Amino acid sequence: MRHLARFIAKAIAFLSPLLRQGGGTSAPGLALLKLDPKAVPRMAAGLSDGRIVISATNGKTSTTRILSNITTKAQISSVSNAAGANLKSGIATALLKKSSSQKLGVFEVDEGVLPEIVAEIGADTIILMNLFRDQLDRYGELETIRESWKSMIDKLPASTNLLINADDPSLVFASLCHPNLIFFGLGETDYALESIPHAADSSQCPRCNNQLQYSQVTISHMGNWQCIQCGLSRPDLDFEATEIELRGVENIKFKILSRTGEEPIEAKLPGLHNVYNVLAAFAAAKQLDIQTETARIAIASVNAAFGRTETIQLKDKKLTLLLAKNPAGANSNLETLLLHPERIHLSVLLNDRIADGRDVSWIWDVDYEKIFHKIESLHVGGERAYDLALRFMYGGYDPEKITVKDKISDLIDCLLTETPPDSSIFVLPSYTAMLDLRAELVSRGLTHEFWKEGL
Amino acid sequence: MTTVRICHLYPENMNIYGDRGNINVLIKRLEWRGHSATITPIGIGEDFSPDDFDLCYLGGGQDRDQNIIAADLTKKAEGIRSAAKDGVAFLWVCGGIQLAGHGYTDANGNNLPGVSILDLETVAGEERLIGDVVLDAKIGDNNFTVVGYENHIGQTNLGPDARPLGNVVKGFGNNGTSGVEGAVQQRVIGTYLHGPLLPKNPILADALLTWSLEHRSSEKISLEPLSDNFTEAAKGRAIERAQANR
Ligand SMILES: [Zn+2]
Repeated sequence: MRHLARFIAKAIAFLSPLLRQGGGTSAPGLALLKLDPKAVPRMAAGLSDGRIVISATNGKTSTTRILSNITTKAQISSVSNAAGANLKSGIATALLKKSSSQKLGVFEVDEGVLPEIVAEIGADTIILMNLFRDQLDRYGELETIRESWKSMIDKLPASTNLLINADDPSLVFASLCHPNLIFFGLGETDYALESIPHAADSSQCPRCNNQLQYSQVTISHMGNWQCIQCGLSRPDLDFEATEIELRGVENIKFKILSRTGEEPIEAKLPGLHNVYNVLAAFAAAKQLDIQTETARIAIASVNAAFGRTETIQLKDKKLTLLLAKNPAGANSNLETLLLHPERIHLSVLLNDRIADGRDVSWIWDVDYEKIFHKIESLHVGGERAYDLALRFMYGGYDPEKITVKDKISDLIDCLLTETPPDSSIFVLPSYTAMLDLRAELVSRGLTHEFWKEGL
Repeated sequence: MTTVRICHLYPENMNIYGDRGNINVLIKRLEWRGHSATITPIGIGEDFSPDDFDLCYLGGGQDRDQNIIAADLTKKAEGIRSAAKDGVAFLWVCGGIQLAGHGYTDANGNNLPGVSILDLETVAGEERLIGDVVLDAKIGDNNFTVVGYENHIGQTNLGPDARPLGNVVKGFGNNGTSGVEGAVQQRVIGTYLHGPLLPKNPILADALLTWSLEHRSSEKISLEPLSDNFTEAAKGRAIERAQANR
């Protein structure tokens, strides 16, 4: 029966890309779990070199991609789940496709199912990046996830490596009791924010609820924090990013300071959020005893995962996609756009399907006003295009200068015809809006399907 | 030109559902008519003085934040009741409607006291009530459609002094069974609808602004209508979404 279950699931794995079922990233695993609910622990047991899981509200796909690149460069044969297929079904699908030589697993895991996946695959390394407000309707409230992570950590075996973003106070508090902790975070940087942004979920002490003090704010509620009431503060960093240089929407350059020295790093990924992603992947690579030089070369060669920061040439125009699925992510992208030297043609796309979150109130928490002065043209699209138009109008943007196109094909036509030759166009889409936009570009022969992209 | 004095209660704690959008709408719709607004954030440990404001806003927060502010709110309760009695306009959304009532009893039986400016009681239910909402609303002689999004575990029952904001056409409303949503009493409006509420429901925004301008100027006010290219379309789509029962 077990063999039959695997056979059927593998047949679906083979067929589903042909059926265009999301590239077959989840369907085979879903079928397998129906037939054999215990399949994940059994298949994961073969991963004798390690079982690494990465979770976060933002950055789990990119970090997984960076770490997978590093392990490949280090000639460690590893298995990883496809971008976005981060529920149990996606992990089961990845395990199903695993060859017998692949002894290391690197998985991105959805925040809500993390405790279950950690237990099922017996994760020996867990990387926790951040928790921001995201998809208010799906999980009810962020606090539930924080509590579930904390109780997961309380139950971990002492040997589990826990890599924690020390800049996120709630993650530090949740992990303090664990004996085997590695902290990463950002050193002093010129790219820090002036104050905690409006969208920040919690700048209160996770232990005593007192308002935290920050000597530096990086993204949302993250930074160098301390509570003067109970004394909880950002722990000493095992891996610290210093001398950070952000080069617009193109790339980042910084140094990683650790016990073994100071290493210069460059990556073709933009923004402070990617400094965190690279830092986390580097710290994990060091746990695998990968040579620094190997990691450095691998990091330099990584391209952003599809749609995260992807540039597509459309005839004479350059279209850059910057996924913006929640306020923290959208604000990070706006900071990146502010570094662009010229005025920008901006398009914001918003859908409200289950994968985006039905509740789109978060757009009112994004600081779009910050880039109004840089906008040369504005097109809004997606199923909630009119909500975006209201957002910009009530933010003070001239309503006469807002173009609404709620059909993706109309939007692309409009972007191509109404912007001058050689324009750079920046698109901030929600998750399914990004998929829709890419699908339309694929159907016009302008880019490739995402599942044809190797990890 | 009149300057409306808006009090935004606990903006640091109670802001989870795009509440800033409601404040933006109030400011812009005043400005477009040649008026203006001052926004005064009032947080934990700060005094609420009833004579200082014409409009008072409270939004929604996570359970943890709602518990934190509820304790502080009792210290402001007397001032808030006196403002409500004096004709200050109130919009208290989501967690706000619960705290505007007599109290909220959570799943563990703990009671958070409210400020009793709306005659209603709230008790935690079994399941969260989540989704698109359409209401047939009525304020004074004005009948209109309201659209929004709800997400609450609290189930609210109105007492005799509060009338509903509207009848539920789509969605759950106050408790999923009574067929009504929100509460209005004097110039206090409470509702579960966020999204935020006011951008797609300018009639409601203008009702609140009329009350607050009247409170400020002690004159009868009639606001001139405004129109734009987006509101009706956004509202129309919201009604279609709700009707689609997705
Ligand atoms: Zn503290």
